[in-house]
Amino acid sequence: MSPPGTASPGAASPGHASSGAGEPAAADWQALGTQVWLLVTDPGQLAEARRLLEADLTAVDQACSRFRPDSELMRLDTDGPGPASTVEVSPLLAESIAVALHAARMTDGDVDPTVADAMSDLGYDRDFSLLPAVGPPVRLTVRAVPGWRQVGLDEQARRLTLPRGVHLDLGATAKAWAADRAASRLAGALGCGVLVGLGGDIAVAGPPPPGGWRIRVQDITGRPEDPPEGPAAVVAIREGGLATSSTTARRWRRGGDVLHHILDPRTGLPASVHWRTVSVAAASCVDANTASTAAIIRGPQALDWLSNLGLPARLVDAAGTVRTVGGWPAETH
Amino acid sequence: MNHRRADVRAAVSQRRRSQGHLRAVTATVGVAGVVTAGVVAAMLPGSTHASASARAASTPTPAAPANSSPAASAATGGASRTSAARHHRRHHHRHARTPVAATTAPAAPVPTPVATTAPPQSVSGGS
Repeated sequence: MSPPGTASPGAASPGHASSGAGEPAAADWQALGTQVWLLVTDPGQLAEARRLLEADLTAVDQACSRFRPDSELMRLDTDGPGPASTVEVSPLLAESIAVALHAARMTDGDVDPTVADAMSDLGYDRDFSLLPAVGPPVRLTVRAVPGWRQVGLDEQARRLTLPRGVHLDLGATAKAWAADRAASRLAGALGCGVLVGLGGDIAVAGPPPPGGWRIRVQDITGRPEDPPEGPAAVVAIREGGLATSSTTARRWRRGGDVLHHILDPRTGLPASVHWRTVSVAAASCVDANTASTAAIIRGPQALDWLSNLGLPARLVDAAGTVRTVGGWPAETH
Repeated sequence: MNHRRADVRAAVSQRRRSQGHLRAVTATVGVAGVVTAGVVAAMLPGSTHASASARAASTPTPAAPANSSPAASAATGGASRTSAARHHRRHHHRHARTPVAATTAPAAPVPTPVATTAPPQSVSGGS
């Protein structure tokens, strides 16, 4: 999520349009604290698609950002008197919290929105671009996060109940959900194929280009024209979503400890690195993101878990060895 | 050092119990034919947040703040985590007895990616 002053999408990069004949037109810029990729199969719709996507992402940022003091999420008062507070929230925030709780439920709490304070305790308390890469030691405390079951949401009435002192971090699911939401809305409005990528979270909707949407999976997201570092593969998808979670991204050093952003809710600390990178394809980007994040946290058990789910996935272990399950194409090196 | 090794063993043991949690919770569902991880399998591939929303419409009884229980703290490079592990077990077991609702949400087909040698149009990586 964007910090104050950088919330306006499109301010950081002029974007570009691809020029290959028959290829989708593309634009990219910064928003939600990450790189935005927009591809459309009808180049004549690119400008309008970007306008719609910028508006979408601005609304999501204003509702869900953990790093904007003026966001709706940050203005929730959970530090007042009494054991809990109940407030009415906007439709957008209610939906994003519902998505986060769904992810928690589906992963038995591996992906938990109540990690906000644990994340802040580790030093990740502002937009990552503003986070010093190196800093003094922080106190590492093994303590389970409050837990998603503490969060009450009546989505019909849009009433949110949070126990005193419990804060939410929607970062694990909000970008993927925003990508799904935007891709669907843009494809419906413009009548063409659309790919929305927010960092590693990619959602596609509408008619795909010939051969499908070609996506390279790798440790850290980047530009398609730049050679990747580490093991990478290019796959094509025609619908749904694809997400990658990695412990090699969003890392920072505090004292002698290298920390990363995927926390194990049962310890409140960065997950052990068995898999450094996991990519998953699913019917939606938020499902893919939920599974890829949970796989990082589950470690070796993730292989069987993903296989049982029937989700195509590519897992890269700490040494760089690639495993694939669920119909993800095998790689030969 | 012995204390630290014991702590590591306790943590590993706890983690195994945590990962067995899914099986335990699955068993409480009692849906015929749902095997290990089947609750998730029935939901995740074709799930939408809408199916979650109805079940999310609940107001839990707030529990005591998590930090009301003792938790071990270790400065970087740290000391004992034994009390944290005990806290962890208490916390976890409290949740482990909570059943998970079954669902009949239809599963949408999971799209399977195919390999291609053509240049990429986009990138998915950690961010």
